[in-house]
Amino acid sequence: MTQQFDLSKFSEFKLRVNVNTGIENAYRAWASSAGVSSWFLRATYKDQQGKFRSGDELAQEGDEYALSFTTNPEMVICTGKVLKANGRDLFCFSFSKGCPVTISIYQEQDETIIQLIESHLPTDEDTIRKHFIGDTKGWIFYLTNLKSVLEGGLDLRNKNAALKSVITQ
Amino acid sequence: MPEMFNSLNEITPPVYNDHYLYAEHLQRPYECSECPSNIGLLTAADGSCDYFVNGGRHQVHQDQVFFISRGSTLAVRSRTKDVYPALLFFHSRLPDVVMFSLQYGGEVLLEKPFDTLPYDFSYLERTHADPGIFATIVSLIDLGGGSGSFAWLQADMAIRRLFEDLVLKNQEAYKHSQNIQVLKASTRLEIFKRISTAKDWMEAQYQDSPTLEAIAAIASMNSQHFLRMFKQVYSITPHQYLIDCKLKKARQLLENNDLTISDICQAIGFESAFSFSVLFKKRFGMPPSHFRRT
Repeated sequence: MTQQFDLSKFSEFKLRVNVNTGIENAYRAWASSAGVSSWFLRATYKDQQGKFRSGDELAQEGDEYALSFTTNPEMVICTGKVLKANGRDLFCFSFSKGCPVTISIYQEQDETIIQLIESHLPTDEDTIRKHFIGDTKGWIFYLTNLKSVLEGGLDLRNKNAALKSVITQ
Repeated sequence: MPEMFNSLNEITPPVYNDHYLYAEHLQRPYECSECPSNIGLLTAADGSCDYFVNGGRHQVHQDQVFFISRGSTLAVRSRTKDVYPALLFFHSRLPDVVMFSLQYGGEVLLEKPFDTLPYDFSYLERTHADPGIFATIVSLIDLGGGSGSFAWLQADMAIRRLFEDLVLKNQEAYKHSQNIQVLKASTRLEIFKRISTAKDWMEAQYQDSPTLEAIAAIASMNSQHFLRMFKQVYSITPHQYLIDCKLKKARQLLENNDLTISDICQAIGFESAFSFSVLFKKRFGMPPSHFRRT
Protein backbone atom coordinates (compact mmCIF):
# COMPACT_ATOMS: atom_id res chain seq x y z
CA MET A 1 0.00 0.00 0.00
CA THR A 2 1.38 3.42 -0.89
CA GLN A 3 1.62 5.86 1.95
CA GLN A 4 0.46 9.36 0.98
CA PHE A 5 2.49 12.16 2.59
CA ASP A 6 0.87 15.41 3.53
CA LEU A 7 3.44 17.70 1.88
CA SER A 8 2.12 20.77 3.69
CA LYS A 9 3.78 19.38 6.82
CA PHE A 10 7.12 20.15 5.21
CA SER A 11 6.43 23.87 4.91
CA GLU A 12 7.76 24.54 8.40
CA PHE A 13 9.63 22.98 11.27
CA LYS A 14 9.99 23.80 14.93
CA LEU A 15 12.97 23.14 17.19
CA ARG A 16 13.18 23.92 20.91
CA VAL A 17 16.12 23.91 23.25
CA ASN A 18 16.23 24.56 26.99
CA VAL A 19 19.11 26.78 28.03
CA ASN A 20 20.27 27.65 31.50
CA THR A 21 20.41 31.40 30.97
CA GLY A 22 18.18 34.46 31.21
CA ILE A 23 15.79 35.58 28.47
CA GLU A 24 17.73 38.80 27.92
CA ASN A 25 21.00 36.95 27.44
CA ALA A 26 19.37 34.50 25.05
CA TYR A 27 17.91 37.39 23.04
CA ARG A 28 21.35 39.02 22.74
CA ALA A 29 22.69 35.76 21.36
CA TRP A 30 20.45 36.31 18.32
CA ALA A 31 20.08 40.06 18.03
CA SER A 32 23.67 41.26 18.41
CA SER A 33 26.51 40.50 16.03
CA ALA A 34 28.84 39.60 18.91
CA GLY A 35 26.18 37.27 20.29
CA VAL A 36 25.54 35.49 16.99
CA SER A 37 29.26 35.25 16.22
CA SER A 38 29.90 33.51 19.55
CA TRP A 39 27.92 30.37 18.69
CA PHE A 40 26.74 30.46 15.04
CA LEU A 41 28.46 32.11 12.11
CA ARG A 42 30.41 35.33 12.02
CA ALA A 43 27.67 37.96 11.77
CA THR A 44 27.33 41.63 10.93
CA TYR A 45 24.19 43.75 11.22
CA LYS A 46 23.70 46.90 9.18
CA ASP A 47 21.00 49.49 9.94
CA GLN A 48 18.72 50.91 7.26
CA GLN A 49 21.20 53.71 6.58
CA GLY A 50 23.81 51.07 5.77
CA LYS A 51 25.84 51.64 8.95
CA PHE A 52 27.31 48.60 10.69
CA ARG A 53 26.05 48.07 14.21
CA SER A 54 28.66 47.58 16.89
CA GLY A 55 29.17 44.11 18.36
CA ASP A 56 26.83 44.45 21.34
CA GLU A 57 24.26 46.75 19.74
CA LEU A 58 20.89 45.11 19.21
CA ALA A 59 19.64 44.74 15.66
CA GLN A 60 16.34 46.38 14.75
CA GLU A 61 13.57 45.51 12.34
CA GLY A 62 14.67 46.32 8.77
CA ASP A 63 18.36 45.72 9.46
CA GLU A 64 20.35 43.66 7.00
CA TYR A 65 22.67 40.91 8.11
CA ALA A 66 25.53 38.94 6.56
CA LEU A 67 26.95 35.63 7.76
CA SER A 68 30.32 34.10 7.03
CA PHE A 69 32.32 31.21 8.44
CA THR A 70 34.60 32.09 11.32
CA THR A 71 37.35 30.19 9.54
CA ASN A 72 36.86 32.25 6.35
CA PRO A 73 35.40 35.67 7.26
CA GLU A 74 35.82 37.10 3.74
CA MET A 75 33.44 34.60 2.23
CA VAL A 76 29.88 35.70 2.95
CA ILE A 77 27.63 32.68 2.73
CA CYS A 78 24.26 34.14 3.58
CA THR A 79 22.60 37.54 3.68
CA GLY A 80 19.11 38.50 4.79
CA LYS A 81 16.91 40.92 6.65
CA VAL A 82 15.65 41.28 10.21
CA LEU A 83 11.89 40.98 9.87
CA LYS A 84 10.91 41.50 13.53
CA ALA A 85 12.83 42.44 16.65
CA ASN A 86 10.92 43.43 19.78
CA GLY A 87 14.05 43.94 21.87
CA ARG A 88 12.98 41.33 24.45
CA ASP A 89 11.93 37.86 23.37
CA LEU A 90 10.97 37.78 19.69
CA PHE A 91 13.39 37.96 16.79
CA CYS A 92 12.61 37.05 13.20
CA PHE A 93 14.86 37.09 10.13
CA SER A 94 14.79 35.91 6.54
CA PHE A 95 16.97 32.89 5.90
CA SER A 96 16.67 29.88 3.65
CA LYS A 97 15.09 30.86 0.29
CA GLY A 98 14.15 34.11 2.02
CA CYS A 99 11.81 32.18 4.34
CA PRO A 100 11.36 33.56 7.85
CA VAL A 101 13.04 32.05 10.89
CA THR A 102 11.25 33.13 14.07
CA ILE A 103 12.97 32.93 17.43
CA SER A 104 10.77 33.06 20.52
CA ILE A 105 12.26 32.99 23.99
CA TYR A 106 10.11 32.14 26.98
CA GLN A 107 10.04 30.38 30.31
CA GLU A 108 8.73 26.86 30.76
CA GLN A 109 9.13 24.66 33.82
CA ASP A 110 11.47 27.28 35.31
CA GLU A 111 13.80 27.04 32.32
CA THR A 112 14.48 29.36 29.40
CA ILE A 113 13.29 27.89 26.15
CA ILE A 114 14.62 29.09 22.79
CA GLN A 115 12.19 28.10 20.11
CA LEU A 116 13.06 28.29 16.41
CA ILE A 117 10.42 28.04 13.71
CA GLU A 118 11.44 28.10 10.06
CA SER A 119 8.28 28.59 8.02
CA HIS A 120 6.81 29.25 4.58
CA LEU A 121 9.13 26.73 2.95
CA PRO A 122 8.01 25.62 -0.52
CA THR A 123 6.97 21.98 -0.50
CA ASP A 124 8.38 20.74 -3.78
CA GLU A 125 10.67 17.74 -3.56
CA ASP A 126 13.89 19.71 -4.08
CA THR A 127 13.09 22.28 -1.42
CA ILE A 128 12.12 19.58 1.06
CA ARG A 129 15.38 17.76 0.45
CA LYS A 130 17.64 20.77 0.46
CA HIS A 131 16.01 23.24 2.80
CA PHE A 132 13.66 21.34 5.11
CA ILE A 133 16.05 18.49 5.80
CA GLY A 134 19.27 20.47 5.37
CA ASP A 135 18.17 23.34 7.57
CA THR A 136 16.82 21.07 10.30
CA LYS A 137 20.17 19.29 10.41
CA GLY A 138 22.08 22.56 10.48
CA TRP A 139 19.96 24.20 13.17
CA ILE A 140 20.13 21.14 15.44
CA PHE A 141 23.90 21.41 15.64
CA TYR A 142 23.96 25.16 16.03
CA LEU A 143 21.20 25.22 18.68
CA THR A 144 23.17 22.60 20.60
CA ASN A 145 26.21 24.84 20.35
CA LEU A 146 24.15 27.83 21.45
CA LYS A 147 23.17 25.92 24.59
CA SER A 148 26.76 24.90 25.21
CA VAL A 149 28.16 28.41 24.78
CA LEU A 150 25.44 30.15 26.80
CA GLU A 151 25.85 27.69 29.64
CA GLY A 152 29.58 28.42 29.80
CA GLY A 153 30.67 25.23 28.11
CA LEU A 154 32.74 24.49 25.05
CA ASP A 155 32.34 26.17 21.68
CA LEU A 156 31.82 23.06 19.56
CA ARG A 157 32.40 24.68 16.16
CA ASN A 158 35.19 23.50 13.90
CA LYS A 159 38.13 25.89 14.09
CA ASN A 160 40.31 24.07 11.58
CA ALA A 161 39.87 25.79 8.20
CA ALA A 162 41.48 22.86 6.38
CA LEU A 163 38.94 20.40 7.73
CA LYS A 164 35.79 20.11 5.60
CA SER A 165 32.45 18.33 5.70
CA VAL A 166 31.94 18.01 9.42
CA ILE A 167 28.66 18.79 11.16
CA THR A 168 30.46 21.34 13.32
CA GLN A 169 30.73 23.69 10.37
CA MET B 1 22.03 12.40 -16.25
CA PRO B 2 18.96 14.41 -15.21
CA GLU B 3 15.57 13.85 -16.74
CA MET B 4 15.82 17.22 -18.44
CA PHE B 5 18.50 15.71 -20.65
CA ASN B 6 16.11 13.25 -22.19
CA SER B 7 15.90 14.35 -25.79
CA LEU B 8 12.46 12.79 -25.95
CA ASN B 9 11.01 15.41 -23.66
CA GLU B 10 11.39 17.91 -26.49
CA ILE B 11 12.40 20.71 -24.16
CA THR B 12 14.97 22.84 -25.94
CA PRO B 13 16.62 24.27 -24.01
CA PRO B 14 15.62 22.35 -20.91
CA VAL B 15 14.56 24.14 -17.76
CA TYR B 16 16.48 23.39 -14.58
CA ASN B 17 14.63 24.15 -11.38
CA ASP B 18 17.79 23.96 -9.29
CA HIS B 19 21.53 23.75 -9.70
CA TYR B 20 22.71 20.28 -10.70
CA LEU B 21 26.16 18.90 -10.18
CA TYR B 22 27.12 15.51 -11.58
CA ALA B 23 30.49 14.06 -10.79
CA GLU B 24 31.60 10.48 -10.86
CA HIS B 25 34.84 8.61 -11.12
CA LEU B 26 33.89 6.28 -13.97
CA GLN B 27 35.01 2.69 -13.60
CA ARG B 28 33.89 1.67 -17.08
CA PRO B 29 33.23 3.28 -20.48
CA TYR B 30 30.28 5.64 -20.46
CA GLU B 31 28.11 7.27 -23.09
CA CYS B 32 25.37 9.85 -22.86
CA SER B 33 23.80 10.52 -26.23
CA GLU B 34 23.38 14.03 -27.57
CA CYS B 35 20.70 16.11 -25.87
CA PRO B 36 19.85 19.77 -25.40
CA SER B 37 21.52 21.65 -22.58
CA ASN B 38 21.13 24.85 -20.69
CA ILE B 39 23.92 26.98 -19.20
CA GLY B 40 26.58 24.91 -17.46
CA LEU B 41 30.24 24.15 -16.89
CA LEU B 42 31.92 20.92 -17.91
CA THR B 43 35.20 19.76 -16.51
CA ALA B 44 37.26 16.75 -15.47
CA ALA B 45 37.80 16.50 -11.73
CA ASP B 46 40.81 14.35 -12.54
CA GLY B 47 42.67 13.67 -15.81
CA SER B 48 40.66 14.68 -18.87
CA CYS B 49 37.23 14.08 -20.34
CA ASP B 50 35.70 14.35 -23.83
CA TYR B 51 32.59 16.45 -24.22
CA PHE B 52 30.80 16.81 -27.54
CA VAL B 53 29.14 20.21 -27.82
CA ASN B 54 27.10 20.93 -30.94
CA GLY B 55 28.84 17.98 -32.55
CA GLY B 56 32.39 19.21 -31.90
CA ARG B 57 34.75 17.28 -29.63
CA HIS B 58 36.29 19.17 -26.73
CA GLN B 59 38.84 17.44 -24.57
CA VAL B 60 38.72 19.17 -21.21
CA HIS B 61 41.60 18.66 -18.82
CA GLN B 62 41.86 19.14 -15.10
CA ASP B 63 42.07 22.89 -14.28
CA GLN B 64 40.05 23.70 -17.40
CA VAL B 65 36.31 24.20 -17.77
CA PHE B 66 34.13 24.21 -20.85
CA PHE B 67 31.31 26.73 -20.67
CA ILE B 68 28.21 25.39 -22.43
CA SER B 69 25.58 27.88 -23.47
CA ARG B 70 21.79 27.74 -23.52
CA GLY B 71 20.39 25.67 -26.35
CA SER B 72 23.61 23.86 -27.28
CA THR B 73 23.62 20.09 -27.55
CA LEU B 74 25.78 17.97 -25.34
CA ALA B 75 27.02 14.41 -25.43
CA VAL B 76 29.51 12.72 -23.14
CA ARG B 77 31.49 9.78 -24.46
CA SER B 78 34.21 8.03 -22.59
CA ARG B 79 35.75 4.92 -24.08
CA THR B 80 38.26 4.45 -21.32
CA LYS B 81 37.79 3.98 -17.60
CA ASP B 82 39.24 6.15 -14.84
CA VAL B 83 37.64 9.25 -16.29
CA TYR B 84 36.17 11.73 -13.81
CA PRO B 85 33.63 13.98 -15.55
CA ALA B 86 32.08 16.79 -13.53
CA LEU B 87 29.14 18.75 -14.94
CA LEU B 88 27.57 21.73 -13.21
CA PHE B 89 24.32 23.13 -14.58
CA PHE B 90 22.85 26.34 -13.25
CA HIS B 91 19.29 26.93 -12.12
CA SER B 92 17.51 28.35 -15.17
CA ARG B 93 16.41 31.42 -13.23
CA LEU B 94 19.92 32.24 -12.06
CA PRO B 95 20.72 34.54 -15.02
CA ASP B 96 17.65 36.67 -14.19
CA VAL B 97 18.51 36.80 -10.50
CA VAL B 98 22.16 37.64 -11.07
CA MET B 99 21.52 40.14 -13.86
CA PHE B 100 18.94 41.88 -11.71
CA SER B 101 21.18 42.10 -8.67
CA LEU B 102 24.15 43.24 -10.71
CA GLN B 103 22.13 45.92 -12.44
CA TYR B 104 19.96 47.13 -9.62
CA GLY B 105 21.88 45.99 -6.54
CA GLY B 106 24.02 48.17 -4.32
CA GLU B 107 26.94 48.12 -6.66
CA VAL B 108 26.55 48.69 -10.36
CA LEU B 109 29.01 46.24 -11.83
CA LEU B 110 27.82 46.27 -15.40
CA GLU B 111 28.58 49.30 -17.46
CA LYS B 112 25.38 48.96 -19.37
CA PRO B 113 22.35 46.72 -19.07
CA PHE B 114 22.03 43.59 -21.12
CA ASP B 115 18.82 44.90 -22.71
CA THR B 116 20.14 44.33 -26.20
CA LEU B 117 21.71 41.00 -25.36
CA PRO B 118 19.35 39.12 -23.08
CA TYR B 119 21.27 36.27 -21.56
CA ASP B 120 23.29 35.42 -24.61
CA PHE B 121 26.21 33.54 -23.16
CA SER B 122 27.47 32.18 -26.45
CA TYR B 123 30.58 34.40 -26.30
CA LEU B 124 31.82 32.28 -23.41
CA GLU B 125 31.11 28.93 -25.03
CA ARG B 126 34.57 27.42 -25.22
CA THR B 127 37.23 25.86 -23.01
CA HIS B 128 38.60 28.19 -20.36
CA ALA B 129 41.86 27.58 -18.56
CA ASP B 130 40.61 28.83 -15.22
CA PRO B 131 41.94 27.09 -12.11
CA GLY B 132 39.69 29.30 -9.94
CA ILE B 133 36.45 28.06 -11.52
CA PHE B 134 37.81 24.52 -11.50
CA ALA B 135 38.63 24.76 -7.79
CA THR B 136 35.09 25.99 -7.05
CA ILE B 137 33.58 22.99 -8.86
CA VAL B 138 35.85 20.61 -6.95
CA SER B 139 34.85 22.28 -3.66
CA LEU B 140 31.20 21.80 -4.64
CA ILE B 141 31.84 18.08 -5.19
CA ASP B 142 33.27 17.93 -1.67
CA LEU B 143 30.29 19.82 -0.28
CA GLY B 144 27.79 17.58 -2.02
CA GLY B 145 29.31 14.45 -0.56
CA GLY B 146 29.90 15.92 2.85
CA SER B 147 27.85 16.32 5.95
CA GLY B 148 28.59 19.89 6.95
CA SER B 149 25.82 21.90 8.55
CA PHE B 150 24.14 24.22 6.05
CA ALA B 151 26.36 22.81 3.29
CA TRP B 152 23.79 23.96 0.73
CA LEU B 153 24.20 27.54 1.98
CA GLN B 154 27.88 27.42 1.10
CA ALA B 155 27.14 25.69 -2.18
CA ASP B 156 24.45 28.16 -3.23
CA MET B 157 26.65 31.13 -2.44
CA ALA B 158 29.67 29.63 -4.21
CA ILE B 159 27.56 28.96 -7.32
CA ARG B 160 26.07 32.42 -7.22
CA ARG B 161 29.54 34.00 -7.02
CA LEU B 162 30.81 31.80 -9.80
CA PHE B 163 27.93 32.85 -12.00
CA GLU B 164 28.39 36.55 -11.24
CA ASP B 165 31.99 36.22 -12.39
CA LEU B 166 30.82 34.49 -15.56
CA VAL B 167 28.30 37.24 -16.28
CA LEU B 168 31.02 39.86 -16.01
CA LYS B 169 33.37 37.75 -18.11
CA ASN B 170 30.65 37.38 -20.73
CA GLN B 171 29.99 41.08 -20.81
CA GLU B 172 33.67 41.76 -21.31
CA ALA B 173 33.81 39.11 -24.05
CA TYR B 174 30.80 40.63 -25.77
CA LYS B 175 32.35 44.10 -25.61
CA HIS B 176 35.62 42.88 -27.15
CA SER B 177 33.83 40.84 -29.79
CA GLN B 178 32.05 43.96 -31.03
CA ASN B 179 35.41 45.32 -32.16
CA ILE B 180 35.52 42.69 -34.90
CA GLN B 181 34.53 44.35 -38.14
CA VAL B 182 32.50 41.75 -39.97
CA LEU B 183 28.95 41.77 -41.23
CA LYS B 184 27.61 38.47 -39.93
CA ALA B 185 27.13 37.97 -36.20
CA SER B 186 27.91 34.27 -36.53
CA THR B 187 31.27 35.07 -38.17
CA ARG B 188 32.06 37.54 -35.41
CA LEU B 189 31.26 34.93 -32.79
CA GLU B 190 33.43 32.29 -34.47
CA ILE B 191 36.38 34.66 -34.87
CA PHE B 192 36.07 35.82 -31.28
CA LYS B 193 36.05 32.26 -29.96
CA ARG B 194 39.19 31.41 -31.90
CA ILE B 195 41.02 34.57 -30.86
CA SER B 196 40.10 34.21 -27.20
CA THR B 197 41.11 30.54 -27.19
CA ALA B 198 44.52 31.58 -28.52
CA LYS B 199 44.68 34.33 -25.90
CA ASP B 200 44.06 31.78 -23.13
CA TRP B 201 46.79 29.62 -24.61
CA MET B 202 49.20 32.56 -24.62
CA GLU B 203 48.48 33.14 -20.94
CA ALA B 204 49.53 29.56 -20.23
CA GLN B 205 52.56 29.54 -22.55
CA TYR B 206 53.96 33.08 -22.31
CA GLN B 207 57.21 32.02 -20.60
CA ASP B 208 58.17 30.00 -23.69
CA SER B 209 57.73 33.07 -25.91
CA PRO B 210 55.64 31.27 -28.58
CA THR B 211 55.92 32.54 -32.15
CA LEU B 212 53.07 34.30 -33.93
CA GLU B 213 52.73 31.25 -36.20
CA ALA B 214 52.35 28.92 -33.21
CA ILE B 215 49.71 31.14 -31.60
CA ALA B 216 47.83 31.57 -34.88
CA ALA B 217 47.77 27.79 -35.27
CA ILE B 218 45.84 27.53 -31.97
CA ALA B 219 43.25 29.83 -33.50
CA SER B 220 43.35 27.81 -36.76
CA MET B 221 44.17 31.00 -38.65
CA ASN B 222 46.76 32.34 -41.01
CA SER B 223 49.31 34.32 -38.93
CA GLN B 224 48.67 37.68 -40.63
CA HIS B 225 44.91 37.28 -40.39
CA PHE B 226 45.27 36.31 -36.73
CA LEU B 227 47.49 39.33 -36.02
CA ARG B 228 44.93 41.65 -37.61
CA MET B 229 41.98 40.10 -35.78
CA PHE B 230 43.76 39.96 -32.40
CA LYS B 231 44.61 43.64 -32.66
CA GLN B 232 41.07 44.44 -33.67
CA VAL B 233 39.61 42.59 -30.67
CA TYR B 234 42.02 43.61 -27.91
CA SER B 235 43.59 46.78 -29.36
CA ILE B 236 47.04 45.30 -28.71
CA THR B 237 49.30 42.99 -30.76
CA PRO B 238 49.86 39.38 -29.67
CA HIS B 239 53.52 40.24 -29.02
CA GLN B 240 52.57 43.14 -26.75
CA TYR B 241 50.10 40.88 -24.99
CA LEU B 242 52.79 38.26 -24.35
CA ILE B 243 55.05 40.95 -22.88
CA ASP B 244 52.17 42.12 -20.71
CA CYS B 245 51.59 38.56 -19.41
CA LYS B 246 55.28 38.33 -18.52
CA LEU B 247 55.36 41.68 -16.76
CA LYS B 248 52.25 40.87 -14.73
CA LYS B 249 53.80 37.57 -13.67
CA ALA B 250 57.04 39.36 -12.81
CA ARG B 251 55.18 41.78 -10.57
CA GLN B 252 53.48 38.85 -8.85
CA LEU B 253 56.86 37.17 -8.29
CA LEU B 254 58.36 40.37 -6.91
CA GLU B 255 55.49 40.79 -4.48
CA ASN B 256 55.49 37.21 -3.24
CA ASN B 257 59.07 35.94 -3.50
CA ASP B 258 62.65 36.90 -2.80
CA LEU B 259 63.90 35.97 -6.29
CA THR B 260 66.58 38.09 -7.92
CA ILE B 261 65.76 40.11 -11.03
CA SER B 262 67.77 37.69 -13.15
CA ASP B 263 65.86 34.70 -11.64
CA ILE B 264 62.60 36.47 -12.43
CA CYS B 265 63.72 37.24 -15.98
CA GLN B 266 64.53 33.57 -16.44
CA ALA B 267 61.21 32.46 -14.94
CA ILE B 268 59.15 34.65 -17.26
CA GLY B 269 61.27 34.13 -20.37
CA PHE B 270 62.99 37.53 -20.59
CA GLU B 271 66.50 37.48 -21.99
CA SER B 272 67.66 40.95 -21.02
CA ALA B 273 67.35 42.25 -17.44
CA PHE B 274 67.86 45.78 -18.73
CA SER B 275 64.99 45.72 -21.21
CA PHE B 276 62.88 43.99 -18.57
CA SER B 277 63.45 46.87 -16.13
CA VAL B 278 62.67 49.48 -18.78
CA LEU B 279 59.45 47.76 -19.88
CA PHE B 280 58.43 47.07 -16.30
CA LYS B 281 58.71 50.72 -15.34
CA LYS B 282 56.82 51.75 -18.44
CA ARG B 283 54.03 49.28 -17.67
CA PHE B 284 53.59 49.90 -13.92
CA GLY B 285 55.03 53.39 -13.55
CA MET B 286 57.54 52.20 -10.94
CA PRO B 287 60.80 50.22 -11.13
CA PRO B 288 60.73 46.49 -10.15
CA SER B 289 62.39 47.30 -6.80
CA HIS B 290 59.28 49.21 -5.77
CA PHE B 291 57.23 46.01 -5.81
CA ARG B 292 59.83 43.92 -4.02
CA ARG B 293 58.38 42.09 -1.00
CA THR B 294 59.33 43.94 2.15
